[in-house]
Amino acid sequence: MSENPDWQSWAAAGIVAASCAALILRAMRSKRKSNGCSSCGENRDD
Amino acid sequence: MADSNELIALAGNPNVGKTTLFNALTGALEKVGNYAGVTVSVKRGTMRNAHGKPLGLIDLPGAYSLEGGSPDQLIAREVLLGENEKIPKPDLVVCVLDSSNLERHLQIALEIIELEIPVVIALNMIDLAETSGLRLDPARLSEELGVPVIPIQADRGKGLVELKQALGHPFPAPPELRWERGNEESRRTFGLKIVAETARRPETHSATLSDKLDRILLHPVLGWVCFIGIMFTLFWSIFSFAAIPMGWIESLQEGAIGAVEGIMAEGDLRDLMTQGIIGGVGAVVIFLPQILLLFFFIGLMESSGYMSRAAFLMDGFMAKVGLSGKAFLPLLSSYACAIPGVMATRTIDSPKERLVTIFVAPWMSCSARLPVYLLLVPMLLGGSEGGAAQALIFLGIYVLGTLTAFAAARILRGRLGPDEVKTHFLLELPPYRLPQWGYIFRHVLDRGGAFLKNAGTLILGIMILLWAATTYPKLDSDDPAEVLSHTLVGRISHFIEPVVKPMGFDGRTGTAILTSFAAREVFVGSMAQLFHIDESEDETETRKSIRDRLAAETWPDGRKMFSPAAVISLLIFYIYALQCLPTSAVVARETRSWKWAVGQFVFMTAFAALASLAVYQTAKLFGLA
Repeated sequence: MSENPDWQSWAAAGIVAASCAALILRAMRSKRKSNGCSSCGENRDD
Repeated sequence: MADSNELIALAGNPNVGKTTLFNALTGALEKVGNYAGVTVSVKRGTMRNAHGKPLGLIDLPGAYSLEGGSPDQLIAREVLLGENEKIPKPDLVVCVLDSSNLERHLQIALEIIELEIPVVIALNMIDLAETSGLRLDPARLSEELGVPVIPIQADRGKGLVELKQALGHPFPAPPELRWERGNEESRRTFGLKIVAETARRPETHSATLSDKLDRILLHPVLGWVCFIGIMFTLFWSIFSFAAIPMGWIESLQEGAIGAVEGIMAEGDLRDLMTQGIIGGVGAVVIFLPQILLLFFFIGLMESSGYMSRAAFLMDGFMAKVGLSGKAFLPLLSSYACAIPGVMATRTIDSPKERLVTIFVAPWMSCSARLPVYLLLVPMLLGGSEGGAAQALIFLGIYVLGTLTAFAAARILRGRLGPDEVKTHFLLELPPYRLPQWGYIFRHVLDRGGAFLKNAGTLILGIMILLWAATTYPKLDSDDPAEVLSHTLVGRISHFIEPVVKPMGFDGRTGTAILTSFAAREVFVGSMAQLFHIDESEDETETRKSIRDRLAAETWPDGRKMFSPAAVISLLIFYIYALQCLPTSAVVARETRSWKWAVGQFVFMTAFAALASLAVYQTAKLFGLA
């Protein structure tokens, strides 16, 4: 198996970018609906 | 809500089983407990009557009268009078009464009947009344009141068919009153008269099991011994019983890392999956069994009736800090989560007492702190898990948070001045009941599901970003320390280290603390990633290996980085810091002021940092750092 293939770097970067976007969307959602307690979900608006 | 316009409200005194009935009729899983004040806001759902017709159902907070002053009771009054802006006046009220205590509970039923809304009375807990020898005549009671009276046992689903039939059309018309409208004395006299006519009590009164238990559990000395014993057992069980399922999760985690490493070549994606995702998220998920156990034990206390006894024991102590025993129930709820604790303060009549309780509630250690404590406490005991010593330290952590909350309450209570509203602490001590096992297990699974969902969303996202921050920008070097210092995290750590070093932490621990402002439990995952030193060592990302790695860390001068002083300093920070945005949002809503929420956040975070600093520096003076 080759070491550190380039596609892995691109895939990892893609996942990091998608995570950034997801966290931003989550923060925007929390302005409209409560995400609830981070640990137990208490007070979550579904 | 229902696709029908018709709305039915459940009303009655606190702790008569309204929410249990609401859950039984709608299939919901709203919080129930055997103490007054569990429901503090209006819950909505949909039920079907005996003919399958959908009806909107609302569960109102319990109220002793329609003239009650606390925020939760005001909501019930507003809705029943049709004065609430968001909720229309109900078309029918199901007045839920505790069958074994009709004299008192009938009063609110009579008040509601006076409102000329159709009323159906549900005589709940009929089984308990009959067990105590009480014989009721629901048909006669119905005749006297002029409204349908249905005996039910909501926790077992008994009598629900009959209740649904009573909710069929046409709704029962409001009866002609046999007492003077608006006259409390007339209402009381009428209530006593009909109870005398419709209820037959046993000739002799013998002490019930609840009476016998209370002689011990409410005893001025034995009561405290039992209270401390119960809390100690709770923490000991959390450590002891969780060990086996934690082992399963560890094995799964190791297996997953092994599988990824077996399939994929070395590279960024493999690192992201093993270190960032499986290692980081797994480090948090491993504490799921302990969180489930905490919720299970709190559920047992709530369901059995012990919560009220704990509040009763604390009343004298609470008075010394300027609060009433009423404030202790919200504080006890905060051990599970500060959010329901803050919301439960709605049961407190005095606005100032309520404000003080809201302010100190986050210092009661909640379940989100559990993973952090569980990581750090064994480090004080040489890494071993379980045992009485660990349970004692845990008890100490919870006592420290609680006592500090009381001290702060005393200071704040003095500064806010005397109450305009006189507060009275009338605590109802309900009979002990067998826990509602079905509800407790569903509730625990629900909380566990929420924890996992959070691990798969927020924590996963943060772990991925943290992995990126510990990986980029890359440096072509064989020295792991040099590689890390070149990355974004390395630079942030370098920047914040001078700030956190006096508290006993290096820059990486400081960075882990920063990430945990998103959610406290993120700290564990962050530490797992930030102290991942050399992947060529055959180490697995387990809690033990995290501790091993932390224990092996040293400062450049060779001193142990995670000395007992540094670990205690970290624990102190997590006991006091308010790292929970959802709690701040609820505080802002309940106090109707962001100033209180922001002030609370700044104060608690600053207090945590200063307390941590003081502990570490004091320990350093004694050569313990």
